[in-house]
Amino acid sequence: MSSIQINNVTKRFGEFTAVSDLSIDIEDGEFVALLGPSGCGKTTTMNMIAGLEEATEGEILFNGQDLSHTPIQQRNIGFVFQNYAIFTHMTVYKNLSYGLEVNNVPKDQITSRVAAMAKRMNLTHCLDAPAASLSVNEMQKLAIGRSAIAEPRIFLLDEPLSNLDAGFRAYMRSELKVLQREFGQTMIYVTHDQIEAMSLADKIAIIDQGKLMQYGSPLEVYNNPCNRFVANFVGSPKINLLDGQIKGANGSTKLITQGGAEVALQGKISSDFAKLKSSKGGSIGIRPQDIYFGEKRASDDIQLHGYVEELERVGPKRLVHLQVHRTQIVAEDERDALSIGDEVEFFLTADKCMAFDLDSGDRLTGGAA
Amino acid sequence: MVALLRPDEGSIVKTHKTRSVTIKRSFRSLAVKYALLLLACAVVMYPLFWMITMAFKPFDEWTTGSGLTWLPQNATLGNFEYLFYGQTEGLVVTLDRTIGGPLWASLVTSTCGTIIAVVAGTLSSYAVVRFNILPSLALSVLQLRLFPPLAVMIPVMVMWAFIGGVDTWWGLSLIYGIVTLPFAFWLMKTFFDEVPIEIEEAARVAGSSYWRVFYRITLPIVKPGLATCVLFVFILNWSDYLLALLLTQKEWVTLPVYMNTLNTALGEMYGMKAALGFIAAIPPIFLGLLIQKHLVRGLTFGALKQ
Ligand SMILES: Nc1ncnc2c1ncn2[C@@H]1O[C@H](COP(=O)(O)OP(=O)(O)O)[C@@H](O)[C@H]1O
Ligand SMILES: [Mg+2]
Repeated sequence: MSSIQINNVTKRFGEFTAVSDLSIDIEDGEFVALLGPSGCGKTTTMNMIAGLEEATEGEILFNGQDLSHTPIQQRNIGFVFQNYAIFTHMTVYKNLSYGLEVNNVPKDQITSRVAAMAKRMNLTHCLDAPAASLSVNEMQKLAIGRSAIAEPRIFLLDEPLSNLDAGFRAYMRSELKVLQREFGQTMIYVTHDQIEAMSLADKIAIIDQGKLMQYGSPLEVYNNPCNRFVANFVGSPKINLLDGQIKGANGSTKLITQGGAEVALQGKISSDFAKLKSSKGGSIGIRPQDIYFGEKRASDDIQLHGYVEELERVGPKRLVHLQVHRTQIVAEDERDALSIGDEVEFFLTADKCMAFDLDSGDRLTGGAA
Repeated sequence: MVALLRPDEGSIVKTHKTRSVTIKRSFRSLAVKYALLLLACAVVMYPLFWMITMAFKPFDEWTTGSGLTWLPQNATLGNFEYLFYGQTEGLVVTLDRTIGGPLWASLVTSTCGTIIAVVAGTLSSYAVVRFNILPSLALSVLQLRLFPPLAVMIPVMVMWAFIGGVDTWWGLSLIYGIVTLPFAFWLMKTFFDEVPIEIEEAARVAGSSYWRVFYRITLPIVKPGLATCVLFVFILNWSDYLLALLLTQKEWVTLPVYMNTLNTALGEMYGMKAALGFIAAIPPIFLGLLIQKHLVRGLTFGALKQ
């Protein structure tokens, strides 16, 4: 077990910067998700932590110790690769025992530990089968079992679930959570699926184009995204982002969307936009559940008028797709009283509205309202 | 009704006609195909047939004396006897050099040459593919094959004389290893290129050294390729004539060179040469059978879900 400190790590491949000035602190026993779109440098980061790639700049410390001169085979790291990297020329048993054999674990211990892990992973029935004959789901379990069996001090999982079908993915998601509790290991989990990250991780590091956007607990990044990318990436259903030009001085600020809708802003959100410097405009972020219909509840809440374009049922909830001057807004409708084509007044809860600079994407937070 | 039926009937007849035409045509093209295949087969098989039958014909059957026949009239092992013991019934001329020495020389030099080429080729191509060490090696190793061997043979002979490698088993093995290295290198390179790096990384992370990854993971994965490579290189070495002719004199004369010495006062010893060819064909076939189960058409790295 080990804490990990990633300090200002940069990785370049020739001219191309895959990871740029990344700093993440991971505590002992923590489950951290690296979340970001494909190609943002997640695998590269994992490879650097494992020691398979060398950082161009910066350092990675394990329990405060720089291991960059320790050969990989002595680092005691578990790595589940994105494509599993099963040893297809061996049996399932040999795949599981490989790491133990290499580390000169006594024979009788190997047998019992392989048996235990096979049982844990439901692979007992195919221990003697060639690994190449397994199904994708079984390979996935084998890949996890093979890495976990040596009880590594940190456990790296690179998109372990992305090749699986939906049902098995949900099952493995809960399995992983149980595994992590059992092992108590520091785990780093790469995914491009925010739901996975939100449901599994203690902390989420959101990465875009090699840069760390935000690092915090799932609730933190959800409730308090520090920029427009994070707000947009995290959360399902997605956050609404109203982009437009900010006009008017303090007190009577307006956001004018491309479609021509004028949104009058008051109170806190209005003073947030006072910080806006870019000429490209600003953006209001509001989550669907923070939009309501009916009576106005607070004086600063933003009132909008639109018509119902589409209704969508997600479990017990009803999502309303509203059209306001060619801008689409999705709202959660707990009253369940609307039908397509209805014209309706609705309100954005003022203290849930987030202000972003459209140019840099940064969150704008002003002084007191 | 009738009016409705007729076009139908007509169309049925029509389809029938066209179908039979296609059948006829395809039969004809099939016949041509088979004729061509048979011809190709005959061209390839006839020399083999000739060699095998000739090997078992007595002296007077492969001289024009009694007229040529397809099959041996009085099949005999005399030709083999002559090769192994230097004399045979009905032949006054004796052979001062029997097949034992050259057979041994061929086996030793081809095997050693194959080991040199395959070991060096495998290790160097792996180094190029995985560690990007001397990437230019991939092309420069081809230079060994870029010019006609005859063009470099004089310098090679001088060099081999200098290092004392002429007419030694190691001298010939060494040149065999060098000359077939490009084949081994490129063949193994194509196989190593196919091995996903993550499989090796998984083994490294699990605690293996580079060397262990190579012989426990990578090499077993490319085993079919390795088998193909061994067979291919061995056949190349086994059938060499030029190098052995120029770099051996007496002690380490190989089978192909030895074959050319099977001339006596009675003229060319076709029967003996055929018997020799028959014997020479055995080791490569044996090797092929030995590693046959590893010779797989395509390598399967099925586990990888990209
Ligand atoms: N060995 C390499 N050489 C050059 N570019 C690379 C290399 N490995 C990754 N990259 C580039 O770095 C970027 C990040 O890759 P990666 O870390 O694999 O992304 P992901 O977040 O999808 O795992 C990609 O644009 C990729 O093309
Ligand atoms: Mg990746």
